Amino acid sequence: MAPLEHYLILSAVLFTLGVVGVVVRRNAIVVFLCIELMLNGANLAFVAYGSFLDSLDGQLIVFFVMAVAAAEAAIGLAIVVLIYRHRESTDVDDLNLLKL
Amino acid sequence: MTIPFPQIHWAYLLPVLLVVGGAVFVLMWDAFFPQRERSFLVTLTLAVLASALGASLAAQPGSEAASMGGMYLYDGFTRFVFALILLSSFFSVLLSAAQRSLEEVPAGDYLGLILFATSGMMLMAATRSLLMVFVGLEIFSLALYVLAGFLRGQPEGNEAALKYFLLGSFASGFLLYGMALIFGATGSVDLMEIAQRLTTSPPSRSPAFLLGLGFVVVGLGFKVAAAPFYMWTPDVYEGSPTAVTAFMSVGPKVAAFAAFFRLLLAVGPRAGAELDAILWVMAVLTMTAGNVSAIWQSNIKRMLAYSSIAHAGYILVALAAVRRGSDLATGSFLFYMLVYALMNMGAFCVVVAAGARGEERTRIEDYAGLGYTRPALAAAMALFMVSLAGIPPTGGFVAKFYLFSAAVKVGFVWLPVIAVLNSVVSVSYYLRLVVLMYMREPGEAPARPGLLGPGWSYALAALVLAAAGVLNFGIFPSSFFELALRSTLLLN
Amino acid sequence: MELAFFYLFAAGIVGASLLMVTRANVIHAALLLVLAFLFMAGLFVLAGAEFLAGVQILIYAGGIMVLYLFSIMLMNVGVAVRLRQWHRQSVLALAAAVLLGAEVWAVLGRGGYPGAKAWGWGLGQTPGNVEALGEVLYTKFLFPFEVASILLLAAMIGAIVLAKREITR
Repeated sequence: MAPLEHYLILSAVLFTLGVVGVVVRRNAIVVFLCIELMLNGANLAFVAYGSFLDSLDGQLIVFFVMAVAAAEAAIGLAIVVLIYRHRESTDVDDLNLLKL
Repeated sequence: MTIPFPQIHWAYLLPVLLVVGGAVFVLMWDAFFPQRERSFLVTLTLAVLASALGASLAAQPGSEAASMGGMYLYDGFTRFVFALILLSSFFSVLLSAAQRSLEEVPAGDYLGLILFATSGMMLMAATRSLLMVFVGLEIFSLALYVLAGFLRGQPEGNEAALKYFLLGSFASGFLLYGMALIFGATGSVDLMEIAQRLTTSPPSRSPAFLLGLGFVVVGLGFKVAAAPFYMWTPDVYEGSPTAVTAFMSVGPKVAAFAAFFRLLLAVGPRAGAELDAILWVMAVLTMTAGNVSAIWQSNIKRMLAYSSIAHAGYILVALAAVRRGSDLATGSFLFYMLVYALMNMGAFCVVVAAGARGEERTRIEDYAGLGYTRPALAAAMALFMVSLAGIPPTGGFVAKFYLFSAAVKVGFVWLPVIAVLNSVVSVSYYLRLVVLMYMREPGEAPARPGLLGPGWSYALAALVLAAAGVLNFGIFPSSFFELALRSTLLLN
Repeated sequence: MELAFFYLFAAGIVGASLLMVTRANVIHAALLLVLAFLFMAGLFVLAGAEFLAGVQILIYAGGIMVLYLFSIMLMNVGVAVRLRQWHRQSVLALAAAVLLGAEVWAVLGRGGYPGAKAWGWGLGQTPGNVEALGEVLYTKFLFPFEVASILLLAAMIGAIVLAKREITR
């Protein structure tokens, strides 16, 4: 049986990879995918902790995260498709109408 | 296996049910009777919000107010926050009806999404469970992402929607991972159980718990636009339709601050000095960044965005005082949110009303000479600016006074001083607008005043309501402050 | 044996996600993420969450990722591939390293977990996984379960509003 720490380190690695991806990548869809990776890192932590604590709460929270992820994907992709129709690009840096 | 039917306190749940039911009804009505007048749907939505407000004021919180095992919590705090959220939705519906560029959009979808967002905010504020905080936050965030890009032909709006979405979901990722760490450290996502675990077994104040708490603070900090997570705010506020911007600047902040508040109340007394330092730094950075950046803005929506960041900083001062266990701070926090909602909504309403079809007046220069061309509108704007700056005899002054004195009472010295200095800085950009309106000749007059559009009555109603509220709270604050203080009786 | 599977799945996930973050082609990235999700389902089985593993494959890999792939194919990927893919900011790399370090420190320096039993839930010890999950879902988590329907409804309406062709009254 793999110890809890192994699961947690893996989840931390996934979460961090997701964060790095969000910050580093410029394509909006890849950024979405990286956000999914962050959520999955959290999910893994929930499942591992839940099993360790002998509590089903961890698994149930993951269900809700999946519902949220599905809803987010629908909205996010709708926004990207909308922008793509106007702009023919999904590059985050092309978002320059609103200057910083 | 039998599953018992849960005990449901319908009276407590009624405000949320009314809003959700209203959303579905508005959508359905628009789908089946699309030829009806838009004003009917607006009136219907306003009626839904008003009845939900009535229902929440009528439901007296009792001892059995924790429904569904703490997933839904109806106490005095919830009641006050519900009133705030419903008030801000009410205003934003009025503003939406008055805004000319929103006349062509499908009213059912738009109003339905406003109501869904409202329900999400209410659910997020009325819970003890971090899971419900997460789900409620997602409901209103998703609705607001769509509302930000609702004018699909406008590239700025689309961009605002994407930026808001990317940063918002990034932040919810942090919130979720923080929840996972807290769950691991304490075995629960229920704030009451977490608080109990922290008292009974101090080892659960482990690194995992502290980092989890930090991540949750990051996630909520994004939503309230606190430094250093406020970068998205000016862009999103500028690009969104003005009525939606007004909603964003009040509703989500109320909900997220309410959740933040419950979190602090649960873990605050036990999580100790680390949180104190974090809140202190966040408050100072937020108000300073907001006020200093606001000075240089040439777009009024961006200026109001930075101003709302600054106000989030002041509210963080109240939260820092709440962490030290001050009931006075809680009361002044609620009172501040109430006044902030009114004056901010009022200011955005002037922006909406000053615009004409197709050309919104978003540059600050556009307001030159407004005192001569539209004296009533300029007077209202001057009132809201004076209140936002915190000058008597307006509500803004009283609210700031209560808030900063609460901070002094719990032993903060430098924090209130810095906050007052910040208020002084903020006077410069608020009054610059007033000076511009009255001391400068108008530029070329707008071809056609926007207020004469079909939505003028809505704008008028919103302006009168907001102005009356701001003045009333400035001159007779005590009764409402008492109410805010009494609302701080909590169940956990 | 189980440990070996853990390392296999973990290596698969990390490898797939690393490739996902670095690949230029969006379709490749999405497919790699599907692979990572499949490995993740394997880990869920190892952690005693069999039903969740199934849901992970059905909803995540099968539902959400297909939605992504459809959307990507709606758009012209060729354009995106040729673009510069990276922000060049070495500060970010440092920040990420600090973040990861903090997380690892947090999960390792765990102090005492409350209510922790001896480590080892193991396979087959919770045979009624689905039944037990259902019971908790419809009692303790009933309210969020109902609220999730509001979330999905709002998201559905929002997506339709944004993506439909014409605004007509």
